[in-house]
Amino acid sequence: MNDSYELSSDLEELEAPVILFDKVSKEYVKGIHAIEDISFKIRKGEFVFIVGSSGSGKSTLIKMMMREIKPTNGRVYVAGKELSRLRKWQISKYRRSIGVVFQDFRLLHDRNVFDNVAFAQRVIETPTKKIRRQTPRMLSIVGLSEKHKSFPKELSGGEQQRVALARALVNNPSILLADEPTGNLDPKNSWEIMRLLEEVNRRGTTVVVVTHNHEIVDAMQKRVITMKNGVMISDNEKGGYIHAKN
Amino acid sequence: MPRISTIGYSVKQGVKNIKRNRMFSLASIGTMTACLFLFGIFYFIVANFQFIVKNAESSVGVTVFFEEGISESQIAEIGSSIKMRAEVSEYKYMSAEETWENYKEKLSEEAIATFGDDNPLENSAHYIVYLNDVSMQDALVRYLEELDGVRQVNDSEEIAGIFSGINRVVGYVSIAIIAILIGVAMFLISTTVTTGISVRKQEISIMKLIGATDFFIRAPFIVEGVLIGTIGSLIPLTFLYGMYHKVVQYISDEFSNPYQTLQFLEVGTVFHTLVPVSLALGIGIGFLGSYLTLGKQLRKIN
Repeated sequence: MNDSYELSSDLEELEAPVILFDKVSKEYVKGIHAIEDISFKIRKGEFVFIVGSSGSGKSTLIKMMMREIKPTNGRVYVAGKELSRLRKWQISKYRRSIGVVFQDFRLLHDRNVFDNVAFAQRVIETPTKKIRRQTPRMLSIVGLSEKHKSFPKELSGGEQQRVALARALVNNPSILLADEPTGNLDPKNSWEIMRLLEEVNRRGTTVVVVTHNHEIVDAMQKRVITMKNGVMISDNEKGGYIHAKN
Repeated sequence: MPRISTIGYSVKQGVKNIKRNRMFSLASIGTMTACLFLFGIFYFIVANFQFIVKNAESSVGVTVFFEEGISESQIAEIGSSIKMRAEVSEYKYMSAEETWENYKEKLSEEAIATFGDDNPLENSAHYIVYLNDVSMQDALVRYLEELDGVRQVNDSEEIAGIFSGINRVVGYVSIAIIAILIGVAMFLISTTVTTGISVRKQEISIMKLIGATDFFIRAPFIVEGVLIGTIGSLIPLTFLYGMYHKVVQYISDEFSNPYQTLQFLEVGTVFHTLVPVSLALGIGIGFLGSYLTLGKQLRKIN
């Protein structure tokens, strides 16, 4: 009883949208924890890095935020909604409120840049007129207006990630989740993407970036949640990459 | 309720799926065409066979003889009772005189002369009753035998039995063949949709992640299945339409006889049933094949 009272006062205290992990654990195989007893909250408009080596559980966290997987124990709240309780039709509605960027870009290779960005709007049944208006605007924000007719294979890695970013942002999500967005990019392109993410954050979007790129994390001086072997070992409000010792 | 633009998009994507998945789509359309073509041929045979049997059935009559000394009003009453029965297509009264006149045709002049002016069939006035469904003959005979004033009822049990038997066999064979054809066509549509889903696996996964509804994800595949079904039923219908008249003409010319026992259904009559049934089968198989496959396949994609 006491726990749930504390939880609801926590929720009241936070402004929506908010991400709240409350004693969350995940076992893919019974008895083996991918993450264990994770609790943290992310406030509206924050920019947060989740760092850690491979297998530390950071991708599990982002998959939970996307409601791709459910926790074995504990609860994940986004904007006051407990994600485990969402029904099938509510999941698609929920996902419209978040933008997602992946390490491997996940673009549609049979469609050009314009159509890839338009696709995200088409999927959520945005009227065609609005799609024609919003897509060029978003492409100009990520600096790809000139390449709207190019196909993904004609673009560099950085450009492809910018298309993915435009697709993630075109529906004005309140939260942007980026899973290793610079994982396949050279340092120059990595910085370009991070600058765009920072700009998106400045405009009010909550940004959560999972990465193991310590140079970027150190340089940007944002909040850093560090994971190791499925356990959260630190949560620094303004810090750099903590190299966890074994 | 989906937007009109979403419906348009789904149709466009469905057409694209067919083009993208050209070989499998063509195979599905081809199989569906073959199945419905065979179905059409089979339907021609069954419908015409039943039509011929029906014509033959109408020549199978039941004869109702009256008790001796029966009044004309009682005969009329029996006539009304016969008329009431649904299975009766036609009935005819034959007086003793008419019966004798007809019978005379089978006798020689000498044999007729021995009777002089007498009517040896004086007690043979009767009704001849024709049925529209020969399988109902037993029931009708039982009913007629119970009527007041009826002495004897003669039926053609053997012929009726043969016709009923043939009809039953044709019915069972039709059901079996249609079931097999539907099974084969559904399997092929299902394979086509499964291939389509695996080709578009990444796209579907992205759709799910960015909040596409179930309807939005499924609709193009349903459109694909329905289109394959529609095309796969229109092609055989066109062929069959062109073929029917020529085949009927050929058979009529080759096997014509003076009694005109080989009469076939009009092309309009056949296609009045065949067109909606084939379209419903094609579209239904396309829809069901894709719908059932989608549920199973989409669950595998995160």
